[in-house]
Amino acid sequence: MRAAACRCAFAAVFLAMVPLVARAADCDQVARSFAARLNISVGAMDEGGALVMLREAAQGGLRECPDLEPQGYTAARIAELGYAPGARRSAVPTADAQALAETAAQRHPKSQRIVTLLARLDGSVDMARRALALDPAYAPARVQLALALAAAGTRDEALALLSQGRDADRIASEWNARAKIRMMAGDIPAAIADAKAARVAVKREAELMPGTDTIRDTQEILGLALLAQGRAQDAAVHLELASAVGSLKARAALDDLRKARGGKVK
Amino acid sequence: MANFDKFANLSSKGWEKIKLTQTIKVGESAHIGLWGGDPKGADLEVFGDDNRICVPHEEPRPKQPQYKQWRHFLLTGLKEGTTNLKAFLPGTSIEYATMKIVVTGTSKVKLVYFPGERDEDDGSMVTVMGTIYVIGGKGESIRAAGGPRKAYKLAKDYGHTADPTPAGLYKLGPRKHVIAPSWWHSALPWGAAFRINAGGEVEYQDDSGKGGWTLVTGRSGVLTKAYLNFKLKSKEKMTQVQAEKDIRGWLIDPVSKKLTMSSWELNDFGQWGWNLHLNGAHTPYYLHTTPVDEASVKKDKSVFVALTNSHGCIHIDPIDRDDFMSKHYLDEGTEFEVRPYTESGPP
Repeated sequence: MRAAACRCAFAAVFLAMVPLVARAADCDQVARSFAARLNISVGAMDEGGALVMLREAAQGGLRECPDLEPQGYTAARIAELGYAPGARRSAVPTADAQALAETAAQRHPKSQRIVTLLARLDGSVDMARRALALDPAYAPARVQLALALAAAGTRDEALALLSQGRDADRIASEWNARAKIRMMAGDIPAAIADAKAARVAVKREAELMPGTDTIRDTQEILGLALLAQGRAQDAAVHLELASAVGSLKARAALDDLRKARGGKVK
Repeated sequence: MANFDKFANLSSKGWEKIKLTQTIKVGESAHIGLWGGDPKGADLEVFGDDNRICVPHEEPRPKQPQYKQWRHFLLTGLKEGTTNLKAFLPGTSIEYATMKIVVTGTSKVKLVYFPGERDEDDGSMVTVMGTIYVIGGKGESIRAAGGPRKAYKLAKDYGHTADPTPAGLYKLGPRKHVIAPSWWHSALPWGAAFRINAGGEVEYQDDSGKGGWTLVTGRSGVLTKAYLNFKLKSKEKMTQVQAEKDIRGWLIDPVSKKLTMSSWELNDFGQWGWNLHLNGAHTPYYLHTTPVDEASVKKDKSVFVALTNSHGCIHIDPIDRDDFMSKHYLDEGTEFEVRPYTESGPP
């Protein structure tokens, strides 16, 4: 009788454990499969479409295994870029980007890329400092802190932050951020020089970033900087390209230019 | 004050000035001017009564100073019938000018694509959206997104470029599963079935469905080679061994040793593509769908497919593709005209 009870208890414990073991094994597989997919996620002709599919895969993985950091980051990052299934890309983060980032940050408070993403959505200097403290070498965190500092009026500290290290190691986002801050400071020639450096930066971005976004940001800054110098014809060339790859700012500037010139830009 | 009429050197063929009537044949087009505007000089809003019969597009304004009060419209006859073109006071139903358009005759089926009809932003990203119209059909049209208005190059992405879809008079090539290894996802045909061979490598079956298995993974696998080539041309560090590992790791689960997908549905050209032939020769431009749109429609046929600008090809909705295929509008040899991006509208 006692032996039978013991066997039953053992069986109950064993049965209770089976789903846990199975779940753990599934999550390993989900993690492996996603890691492999991330490796090869570049190079799609429809880059945006590929990101939407990657987001769906990430969220599918999170439903099964909520603790996977790559899925948490990827879903939040693609939402931050404005991509959602069944919708045109938004110029701002999708409505669920904040919630995705917060959930990911709660589960992975030491993930520098997730905290950096949250800092971008938050915009505060404090949050950006927290992100950079997790990994001072992480370029996107440095960029975000610099932009937050500049927005708060501390431009010298922001520029110093983006002037650390070797030029050859800078990613296009760093050049573009420095160009923006220099524009804010009224140093137009330096802003143009930085935007030109962004155009030829060789090092790959540290985050998921559509190639057209880099072109958009660089061309937008170049166009606006040239416009600030009164070089409307040169500016229009860059603004038209920025507009063609989705810059609303460039489009608005071109509209203003057209109005000012009676319908003609060139 | 406003009125429709011919100006400068616009052809008067088919134009009856007294009756304010333009007659055109199905598949032909005519140019018409609109003089004047609202009392403050603002542009009037121009609409066709029935764009299935005749579709109006606005051409760039005349450059000559003597015609600065004129706007220039292109009228394209799609099917037999009579309709009107009207100019309204902005934001009202007050008609300032009207003209009649009579479309006569018949035509074999032709497609005409206006890639630059409108910039769709909706407060979001700007997409240049156009429409493909059927000439000689029942007045059908579908949304289509071509290349961007301005060309650009993605230096870090194989050096691929994106260009406006060039205007021209093309013919559709045969429908096919496109293979274009410079886009490495397109090194395999859409829908190719996979299997794992005795050596543990993935193979795909060609379109014949009767064998014809080709290696996908491993040293000489088509996907491995295309992926490695993409990485190296994108100036990334990548070894043969790493490329093999990446591709194998994606298609075969390293623990279960099973395929992670049974067939290939990531070809960049979607299920079917039609090359735009120019003077009998192949061009870099295709009419096709995208993998994400194929996946969305596969899940839900009623889903809105947003369409994105291409690198120069023409993106269409998979549902529209299937509809046009069933009506034989996409048969090989169908004339396919691409108009310039400067032609905008219809409103």
